[in-house]
Order: sequence, then structure tokens, then C-alpha cells
Amino acid sequence: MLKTIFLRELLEYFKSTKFLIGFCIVLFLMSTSTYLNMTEYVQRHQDYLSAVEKVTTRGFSVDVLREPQVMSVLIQGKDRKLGNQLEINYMRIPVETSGYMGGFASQHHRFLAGFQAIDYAFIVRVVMSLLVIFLAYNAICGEKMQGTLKLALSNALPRDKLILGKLLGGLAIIGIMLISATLACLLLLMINPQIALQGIHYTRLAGITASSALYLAMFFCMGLYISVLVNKSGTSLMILLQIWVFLIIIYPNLSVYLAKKIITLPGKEQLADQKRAVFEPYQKEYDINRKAFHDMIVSGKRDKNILINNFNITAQRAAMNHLVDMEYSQQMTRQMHVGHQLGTLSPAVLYDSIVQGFARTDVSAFDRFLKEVKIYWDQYIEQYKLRYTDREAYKNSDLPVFKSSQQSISVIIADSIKPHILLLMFSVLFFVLAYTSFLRKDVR
Amino acid sequence: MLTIIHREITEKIHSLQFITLFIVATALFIISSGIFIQQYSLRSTFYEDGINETHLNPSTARLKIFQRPNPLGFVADGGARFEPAGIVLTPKGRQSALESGPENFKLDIVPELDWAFLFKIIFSLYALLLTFRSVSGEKEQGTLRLILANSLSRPRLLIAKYLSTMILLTLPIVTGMLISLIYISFSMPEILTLSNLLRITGTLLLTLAYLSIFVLLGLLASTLIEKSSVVLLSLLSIWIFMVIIIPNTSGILADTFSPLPSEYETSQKVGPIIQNAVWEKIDGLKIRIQNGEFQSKEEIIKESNRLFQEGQIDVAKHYHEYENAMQSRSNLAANISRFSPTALFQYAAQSMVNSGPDRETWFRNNITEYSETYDDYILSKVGELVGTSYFSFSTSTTFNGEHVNLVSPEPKEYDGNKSDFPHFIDVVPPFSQNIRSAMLDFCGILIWNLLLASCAILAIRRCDVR
Amino acid sequence: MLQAIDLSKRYEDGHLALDHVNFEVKSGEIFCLLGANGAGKTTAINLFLNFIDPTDGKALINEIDSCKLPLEAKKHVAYVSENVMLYGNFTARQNLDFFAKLGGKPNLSKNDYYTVMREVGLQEKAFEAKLKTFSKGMRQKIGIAIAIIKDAENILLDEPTSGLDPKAAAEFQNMLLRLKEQGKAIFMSTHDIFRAKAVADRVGIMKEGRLVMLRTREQFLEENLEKVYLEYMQETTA
Ligand SMILES: Nc1ncnc2c1ncn2[C@@H]1O[C@H](COP(=O)(O)OP(=O)(O)O)[C@@H](O)[C@H]1O
Ligand SMILES: [Mg+2]
Repeated sequence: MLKTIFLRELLEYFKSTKFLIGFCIVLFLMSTSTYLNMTEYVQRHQDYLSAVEKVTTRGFSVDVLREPQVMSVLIQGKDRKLGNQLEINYMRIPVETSGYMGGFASQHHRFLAGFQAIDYAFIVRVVMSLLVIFLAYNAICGEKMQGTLKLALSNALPRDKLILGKLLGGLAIIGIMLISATLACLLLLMINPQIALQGIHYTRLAGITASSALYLAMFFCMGLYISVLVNKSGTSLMILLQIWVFLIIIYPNLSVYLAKKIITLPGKEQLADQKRAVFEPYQKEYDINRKAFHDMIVSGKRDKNILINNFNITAQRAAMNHLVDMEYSQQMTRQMHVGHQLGTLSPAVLYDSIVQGFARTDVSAFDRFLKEVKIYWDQYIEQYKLRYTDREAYKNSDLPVFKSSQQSISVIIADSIKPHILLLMFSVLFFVLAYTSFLRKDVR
Repeated sequence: MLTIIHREITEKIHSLQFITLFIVATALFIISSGIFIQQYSLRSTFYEDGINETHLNPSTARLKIFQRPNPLGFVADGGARFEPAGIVLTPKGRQSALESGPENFKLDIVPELDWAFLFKIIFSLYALLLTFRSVSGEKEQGTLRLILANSLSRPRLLIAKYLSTMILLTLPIVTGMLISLIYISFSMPEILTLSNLLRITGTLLLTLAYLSIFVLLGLLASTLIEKSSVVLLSLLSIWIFMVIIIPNTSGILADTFSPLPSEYETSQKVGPIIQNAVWEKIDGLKIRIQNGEFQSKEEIIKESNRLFQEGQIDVAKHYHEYENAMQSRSNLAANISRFSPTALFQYAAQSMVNSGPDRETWFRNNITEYSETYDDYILSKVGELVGTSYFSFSTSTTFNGEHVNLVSPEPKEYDGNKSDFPHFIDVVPPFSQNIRSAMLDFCGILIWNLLLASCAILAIRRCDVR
Repeated sequence: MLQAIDLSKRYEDGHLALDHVNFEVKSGEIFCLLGANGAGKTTAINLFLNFIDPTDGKALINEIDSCKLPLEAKKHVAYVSENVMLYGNFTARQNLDFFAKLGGKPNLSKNDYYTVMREVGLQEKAFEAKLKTFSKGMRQKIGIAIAIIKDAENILLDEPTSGLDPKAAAEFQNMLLRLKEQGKAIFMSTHDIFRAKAVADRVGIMKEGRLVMLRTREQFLEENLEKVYLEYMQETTA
């Protein structure tokens, strides 16, 4: 019985024009966007590799390079927007990356600022969710209008089986679409010789696909619910579309504005004041040492003690400023998190944060990078100090090129459990609603 | 015909789509005004503070020029939050961005909630939702046959449907605009100038022309395709392409296919340029010193200053090239996105209210002009004009056994009375100039209209009425 | 066997659509329920199918209360609805196939479907055509075919002849008689008095939810059914 209904549902979808149109559009968008993003990524990665090759690990300034993520081809997240370069020295540890032209000149951020990424995540979030709505909106009310609902229920067919069959049919079609779309993307990635996927990437992609399926299932259940609730297909579609517009377009926008209101960030001046206050106890010492250093430079007489003292106090100042900057950076992260929490009601926001986590293109990946930069800076300081204490050792010591560590997949899964559960809850909630109201529905 | 318009309006005005559109639009208009007022007051205080500071203490070394926030930003923001708060002008006309304070780059990128956003995304979508059933739905109900059984030409039916939808769309737009304007003028009465009202009226016309594209598109698809649900799906697909996909992919397309060197390639040239333009000159100087060409330390410093400045010109040129490359990449992206009427509308609306890149270019050009006055002033006060360096260079050598530091020169601050300082005056470009720059995009919108209108009329003539 | 015992239905809006109706349709018997639009015929059928719950009384199918054990009861009944659109994207055969499977006949072959479609008088070339190209009468034929293929002991028909052309109606009439011979209990609601006269073993006339008259075949043949029917109808307007 369940099987009969399930198979009919599948067949119905395959025969419908809307599925055909939708599927073609999805495949087209997936492959073109992946192709474009891939070309762009290959260039970005090439630049990164060349930059790594040229990086000098000895000297006043050391470039730290952030490796672009392969998965950013599919889920761009913050990966492309944030630049790939950051320059550390004993006077400064930035908490922002920039393009290769360096912090003050790079227009990287500004050029990219206005553009939303069109990638796998976008297509699932916007295009496929819309398509799923179109597949689900007349699941029940359409049959009622056709009279087939009455006919089907004139048999010894329990209602729960009917709606379960519909759910399964919908899930299967979502699975089919998603898997073929993902495979198309994967194929493009695999045939590109400049992209080397590793085992971990396949795991990540599997996670992304699964979350996408969950996300779309939520929309399907919602569609099912509305189609049980309403008797006319037209009304059902309209209601669903309004919900879609609100959830996908309006709500995420508002949640960001709200987040900005709830968590306010200190201005530039405040930040400077904070830094000054923190460094106050050492300021005098700093001034004395800087002056001695300056005089030494002017006179041209090298004095090891002055050099070391200047170095130590400057590095200390840099570290303390960095603490303030990091606190500020954390505040930014908090603001973003609040935005996400406010956005919890919108599955689009949940979905984005999950898949960006899987792709490692989210803010927490960037924050992890910043922490690693600090560790690297400590190493650099140790090495640079040798320049004044032991020149021989300095020449022989080798600061490794910065390389960020891989995040294990289990951590990502652990991070994404909460949004997953929420998505699942929404799906189950809608299905239970659909189920209970269908049991009580007037089918005549 | 009037009967049809009347019937259409009474039917649609009660439809779910229209009611939600009205509610959502009004709510969003109010929210966007609220957000704008807040942002504007923040930007204004920043601007006022900056201006006051500059007026109190103008610098002859590093002049901060603040850009006045756009009072019409609520119509079309034009990416103001990504723009610097102004320009730092240094002698010899070098301009660099004045950071407005840290912007949270970690937040999700969401489009600015201005009027243009409402029109180009929300209203265009609802324009489709209000039209997709107009012909196919009547066909499904069988009422199309009944209507056409009367002596009414098909194009007239289409025109009636078109007009009724346009009238319906105008209602929430005008209501929302009025509410918004009233709300905003409570806290900023200064925006109610004639020129601003003209600009807003221009935007209204532009909006109607833009939305008319979607109404026509809806009518066209509705006559071409039999089933209403397929009509809607096709329309929404087109909508996603026009409104979201094309404008947003233009960036990556421009980035990928621009023949200009990438940022990385440009950055790789900085080192060699500095080497060639600066260090080789200075090395030459050192050799000349050893050869005993100089009589005094002052002479050496003077020569080194000259050489450093000369070298900086090349470096500056390189950075300029980089900026131009980025600029032309942005322009390329804009031109690619002009395939979409949404982008045409966005750019035209920006021109109407004087925001976006054009405003920035105007501002920068004004500063370029002003920089001559500025340089003259410095020359008259300080006596010499020293451009700032992109980098500060320093090295040392010995002259007659004496240690000499060779440091790239920095502009000097004039310590005397600066009350006669010629301040920069930020002027808004005349409306006529803005209209001129909006014209081309507006024509693009009109062409879309014409094209779709003729297609729709053709389609309804040929439409199979069953 | 179909039995209505004191069957009553009052809708939520207070309208009493069925008022203590009693009748019985034995196997091998055709019972026609006559009545104007809105008399309550469809309501009665809906009660048998448990689409709605009775306010009072029982609807029994093979002595199973369809309100208490709906699934069990519905195993023994086939249904032809008043106007059915069916799945437009599916062919006639696919529609049949789906409903046959729901009706507990999972192993039918293509030929079985063709036989039934021939039986209801559908032209050959429509067998594999999509339902959305069908006319109302053709769809009605598929609806009847669906009921036949289920091969249940009881059949509920809700105005089955509406939309059928005279030839198809005549064929339909023969088919009803054949089904009757197979021992089915057939309940048909209709306002087509001639059709009822031709096939019915018993007729009932329903008015404003009450079964106002019951006649056996012998009785109504004697009495001139048209006249009786119109008389009863007249009373309403009077
Ligand atoms: N869901 C309902 N709510 C209220 N009244 C109803 C409902 N369905 C039917 N009715 C009323 O019940 C009466 C009988 O309807 P029905 O059984 O459909 O008549 P018919 O004999 O034409 O099939 C009619 O007067 C109708 O208006
Ligand atoms: Mg009826």
C-alpha cells in the first residue's frame, strides 16, 4: 500500500512539467556556478601557492597567508571575501586579513562587498527550496480538487499511510535532485586537474548534502502541512510563497539589523582608548625605550641593550593591543552569532551556518585562523629575539611557513548539532502538524 | 474596458497576495526608515565631528576631508556602508581612503534595506504574483472564452489587465513612500527640499517603469503557458535570474574574465618597483657620496630627499594603476549586470538620488580640483611641497666618517596661524547632471518594456482560447 | 450488503442533511436513491465511506460499522464519485493501476486493465492517453472501471451517469445488470429517473434528508414512477 502510493508520487513528479523545468534549472545553475567558482578558486589558490613560495620567514615583517578552502567552490561563505594575507611584525598583529596589496591599499573587500555568492549553498537555499514548495503545495489539496483523494480513501487505505507515502515520495524526489546536483558539482571538481580532493572533502561534501536534504525536507513538510490545511491549490501556493519570501528574503535581513542593535561595537576611538588604558602602566617605559632607540638610529651607534629593550617593550605592546583587538574581534563574532540566533526561526540562516561549518568557510574557521596567527607570532618573536641575543643562532634558526591546521570533522559535526536539531525539529513539527490535521481533514 | 479594469482591481485588491504585499511593504517601509534615521544620525555626528575637527585644526600634512552623508540614502543607499567616510588628502594630490571605523565584516552580507531594495526585490516579486494568473487562470476557469465572446479585442483585454495591475502596485508604493517620508521628515525636516522631492518623484517614475517590466513579463508568460502553476514557476525562475543571479555573478565574471592583472600579480610588482625606483637611486647616491661629490651633509640630505620623492612617483603610479584596475573591474561588473533590468533600475535610482560610485567619483574629482588650492596654500606657508610616501624608507651611510641617516621626507605641518586655510566645500552635483547619468539606464528599462509589451500583444493575438 | 440504520447527519452549521434514514441493499440487488439536488444523497454515501461521522445511527457494509471499523468496511466496497478529475498526467491505464493496487489488487496485468476499459466502453486509443485530454464522460468511464476492477461485494455510485452519452449510458446500464448478476449489492444515487426505472430492484425517494418513499420494482412499475416522483417533489415547493 505504502509502496503503491510512494511509487505513484514519484511517477507523478517525474511526469510533471514543474519538476522538469526545476530540475533543468537546478542542474544548469549548479554546474555553471560551480564552474565559475572553480575557475575563480583555482586562480585564488594559485595566487596563494605562489605567495607561499615567495614568503620570507626572516626579517622585520613576515607574511601570514590564509589558505583558500577547496569547499569554498561550493560554499563560499566568508572564504573569498576575507583576503588571504596578513602581515605580522613585532609591532603589530592584525586581526584582519587583506588582499595581496596589503592592508592600506587593497581594494579586495570593497570590490567584493556588494556581491552575494551564487554557489551550491545559494542554489539549495533559494532555488531548490522554491522548487520544493512547488512540488509540495498541492500534495493534498490538489488531490482533493481532482477528486482522487475521495477515491483513494474509499479503499481500505489508512490515512496515515497516504500522507506517509506522500512524505516519502517527496523526500525521495528531493534526494534524487540533490544527489544528482551534488554529483554534477563533484564531477566538475574531480575532472579539474588543478583541484585535488582528499578524503576529508568527500566527508564534508556528504555532510553538506545531508544537511541540504534536511533543509529541503523542512520545506516539503511545510508545503505538505499547508496543502492539508487549505482546500485550494492556488491559495496553498500563495501562502507558501509568502512564507518563503519572508523566511528567505526578509527575515535574515532583519535579523542582521536587529543583531547590530542588540550588540553594539565600540568605535575606533573607544578601541584606541581601551588600548591606551591597558598599556598605561608600561607607557612610560615604552616612551623611554622608544626614544633611546630613535636616538640610537639617528646617531648610528648600535647598542644591543637598547635594541633588546626596545624590541621587548614593543612586542609587549603589540601583544597587549592584540588582546584588545581580539576582544573586539570576538565581539564581532558575538554580533554575528546573535544575528544567527535571531535568525534561528529562518531555516535559511540555520542552513547557511551549518554548511559553512562543513565547508570550513565560516567565521569560526577565520577565528581559528586568527588564534593560530597569534601562536605563530609568538614563534616569530622568539626567533626574532635571537637577532639581538645570538646572531649566529638567528641565521640558523628557521621559522616555518605559516600553515593552519585541519579541523577535524567531528568538531564540525559537534558544532552543527544544534542547528541540525532545530532544522529537524522544524521538519518533524510540520510533518506532525500535517499528519494530525490530515487525519482530521474533511476529504469530501 | 473600464469594466474589466474595475473587475480586475476589485478581485485583486481582496487577494491574499495584494493584502500581504500591502502589509509587508508598509512594514518594511517603516522599518527601513527607522534604520535609516538611526544610521544617518550616526553618520551625521561622525561627519560633523570630523568637519569641526578639521575646521579647528586644518593640517598641511594630512588633511581629512569628510564626505557628507547622503540625506536621500533611504531611497537608494548605493553601498554607502562600504564606502570610506571621506578622503585623506596629502600634498601633491594624493588621496587615500579615510576609514569610517571598523565595520563588522563577519556579519552575513545582506542587502541594504532601502527603497530600492523593496522595489527591486519585493515589489517585482509581487508584480509577478499579481499577474501570473491573469490569462492562464481565466483560461482554466473558462472565463476567458466568456469575456472574448463579447466585442472586445484581445490586446485591449491585455491592456486593461496591465493597467489594473499597475494601479494596484502604485497604491502600496505611494502609501509606503508617503509614510516613509513623513516618518523621516519628523526627525530630519531638512530633507524636504524641492530638489529632493523632485528626485523622489523621479525615483517613483523610474520604479513604475521598472515594475511594469515584471507586469508585462507576467502577462506574457501567462498567455504563453497553459497551466498557472507552471507559469508561476517559470516566472519565479526568471525572477531569480534577473533579480538575484545576474547582478551577483557579474562580480565573479568580471574578476575571472577581466584581462587586467589580478591583485596578486600587481602586488608582486611592488617590490621590484621599489627596488628600481628608490633603492637604485639611493645606492647611486651612496656611491656618489663615496666619490666625494658632496660637500656637506645638508647637500646629501637634500639630494636624498629629492631622490626619494622622485622614486615615490613611480611607486604612486603603480598604486594608481592598481586602483584603476579595480575601478575598471567594478565598471565591467556593473556593465555585465546591466543585462538585468534590476541592475539598470538600481543604477538609475542611485543616479537619481546621487548615491553610489558616481557620487564617490564626483567627490574625488572635486577633491582633485581642490588639491591645487591646497598645494598652493602649503607652498605659500611651508615653502616646499613634499608628497607623502606610500612607504617610509630609511637607510644610513657615512659621510666623512659621520653617520648619516637617509630617510624619505614627510610633509611638514605648518605651525603658524592657519585661519586663512582654504577649506574644501562639499557640493552636491546638480539634479540635471544626475538625470543625465540616469538616462541611459532608464532607456534600458524602457527598451525592456517595449520588447515585452510587443511580445505580450503578439502572444495574446495568437493565443489559443480554449 | 449495505445497511443504513437510523442514519442521521447534522452538519456543523446545524443543517440536518439526513434524518433517520433506513434502508438495506442486499447482494444481487440494485437500489436507486432518487432525489433533487441537495436532498442528501451524497451525504449518505459519504457516511458509508466514513468521510464524515454520523450524528446518529449506523452505516453498515457487510454488517461492519463503517464508523467504527472504517478500514475493514471499506475493503468491501467500491465507489464511483460524482465528478472525478483523476490524475491528469497519468494515462488511463496508470490511473487504473494505481487505484487497483489501493483496492487490494496488486497483481493485475495490462490485459486485465484493457478488458475492463473495453467493458466500460472506452475507445482503444484512449487506453494509453493522458487523462487530462479526456472529456468528462471518458473520465466518468474510468471512474466506473476503477470501481469494477476492485471487484468488491458492494458498490456505491454517486450520480454515475452524469456526463455520459446515450450509448455509453446504455452500456453502463448493461454493466450494472451484469454486476448485479455477479451478486453485488449496488447502491446508486441519481436524479435520472429513467435509468433508475430501467435497472433498479428497489427505489427510494429522498427529500430534505428524509427517505420519503420506498418501492420495489413491481410496485413502481405499476404505479408510474415519474408521476410519483414528481408528486413528491411538488410537495416540497407547495
Ligand atoms: N459540509 C457541509 N456543511 C453544511 N451543509 C452541507 C455540507 N455538505 C452538504 N451540506 C448540505 O447538505 C444537504 C445535502 O447535500 P448532499 O448530500 O450533497 O445532496 P445531494 O443529494 O445533492 O448529493 C444540502 O442541503 C447541502 O447544502
Ligand atoms: Mg450529490
